[in-house]
Amino acid sequence: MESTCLYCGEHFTAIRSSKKYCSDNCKQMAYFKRNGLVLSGTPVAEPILQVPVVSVKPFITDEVSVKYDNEKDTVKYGNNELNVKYDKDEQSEFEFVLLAEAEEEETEIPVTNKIRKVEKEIQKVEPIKSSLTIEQKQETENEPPYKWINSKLIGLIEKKYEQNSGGIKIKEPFDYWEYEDAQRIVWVNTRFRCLAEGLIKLSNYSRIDQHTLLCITDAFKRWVTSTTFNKLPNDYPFKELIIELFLGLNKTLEEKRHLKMLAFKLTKERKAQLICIRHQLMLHTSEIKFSEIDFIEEKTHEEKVQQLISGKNETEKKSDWRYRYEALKKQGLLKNQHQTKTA
Amino acid sequence: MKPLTYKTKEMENKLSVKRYKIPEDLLMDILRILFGNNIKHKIIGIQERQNIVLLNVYFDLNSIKNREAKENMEGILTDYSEYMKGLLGDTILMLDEDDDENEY
Repeated sequence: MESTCLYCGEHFTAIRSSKKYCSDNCKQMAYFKRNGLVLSGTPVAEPILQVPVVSVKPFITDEVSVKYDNEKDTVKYGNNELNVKYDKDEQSEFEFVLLAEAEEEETEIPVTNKIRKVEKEIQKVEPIKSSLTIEQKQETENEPPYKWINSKLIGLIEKKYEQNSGGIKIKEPFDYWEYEDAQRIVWVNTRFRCLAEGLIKLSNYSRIDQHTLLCITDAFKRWVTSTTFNKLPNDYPFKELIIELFLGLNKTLEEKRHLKMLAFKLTKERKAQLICIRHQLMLHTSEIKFSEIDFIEEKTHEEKVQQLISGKNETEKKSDWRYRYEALKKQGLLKNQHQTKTA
Repeated sequence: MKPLTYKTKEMENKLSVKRYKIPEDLLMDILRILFGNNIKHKIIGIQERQNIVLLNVYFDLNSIKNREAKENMEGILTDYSEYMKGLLGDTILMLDEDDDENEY
C-alpha cells in the first residue's frame, strides 16, 4: 500500500493503512517537532535533515538543565537526559514540553525494546519518597473515617437549648413582664435554681438518705403552695414542670418511706431538662445555698419588721426606732398624738 | 506490592497515658469510644459516692483514629463540665498523668 511520509513527504510502501512515517527517524523527528523540540538550522520538513542521536534515560523529577558543548548539547529534565549532536555553526534554540505529558498525547511513537527496558526499570526502581506518599495515601484511603460519638445526655441538653425553653423570659423578666410579676418570677427563679441544683447533685450520688429527700420535698411543698408561686403569670414557662417535679418527689417519698438510704435517679430526659434550665438560670439568678433560703412566700413589710425586732436583745430592741414605733402604736400613744395634732 | 513502613520501635511504643474521671452520665459514651476504636484503657478506681470511674487511657498518638478518639472524649468531658459548672464540686474530669488521686 503506497503512502506519503507525514514528516519528509517521501512516498513509501506501508504494511498498515495507519502508518504515517516512512522510517523511525521520521517518527522521532515528527515527535520532536510536535513537542516543540526544534533543532536549530534544520528546515522543518526537510528530508535531508541530519537526524541527531538521542538517548533516553528514565526520569524522576521535572527539573530541566542544559549543558552546552561545542559538539553536543546535553539536555536534562529530571533524570531524563538527551544528548543532541549538531553542526556547531548552526544556532540552537530549544523549547521543551514535559515528556510525560507529551507521551500521553503521543501514540504514534513505536515502542522500541530499549524504551520498554527503560520503562521496566522505572517501574522497578521506585524512589522511596513516592512509595512513602503512596503508603500514606493507602493508609488514609483504607482507614474508614473516624465516627464521632456524641453523648446522649449532652445531645438532649443541646436539644432543650434549641427548643429554647424559658428563653428571653427567664433572661430578662423585667423586660418581659410587669414589675410585680417580674419580682415574683425572680423570687421563684432563685428558689428554682437552688432546688434544681439540689436535684441534679442528688441524682449523681449513688445513695442518699431519706432525710435529704424529705427536706427537698418539703421545700418543694412550701414553695409550690406559696402565694407568690400561685400568683405567677400564666405564661411562666416552668410552672407545670415544677408541679410535676413536686408530685414526683412526693410519690417517691411515699414509696420509699421505709428505706433509710435510697437511690435517687432522674431520667436522662428530665436530667437534661433540669441541667438546661439551671444553666440558663445560672447566668441571671443569684446563687443561694439551700440552707440559707426560705421557700415560704416573701414576707410583707410588717412581718419583716417583726422578725427584725424579735431577733434582737432587749437593750437593742429599745434603742431601735422600729421597736419604739411599734410599742407606741400598741399603747395607742401614737394615735393620740396624731389626734391631738389634728385637734 | 506491599508498601514499606518506616516505624521505629520508639514510635511504635509511644503511648500517651491520660487519666480521666468519668461520671456515670457519660460512662457508656466513653466506653463506646474506647471499645469502638480498640483503645487500651484500664479502670483504676471508682468514687462510689459520686458514681465516678477513674480511668487510665493509653493513646497511640501516631494513629489518627486514636488522636480523634482523644479529641472526642475530651470534647464530651469539656461540654459536660461546662453544663455542670458548680455542681461537680472540686472534681476535675481530665487529669494530668502526674496527678494523684487517692479518693477511690
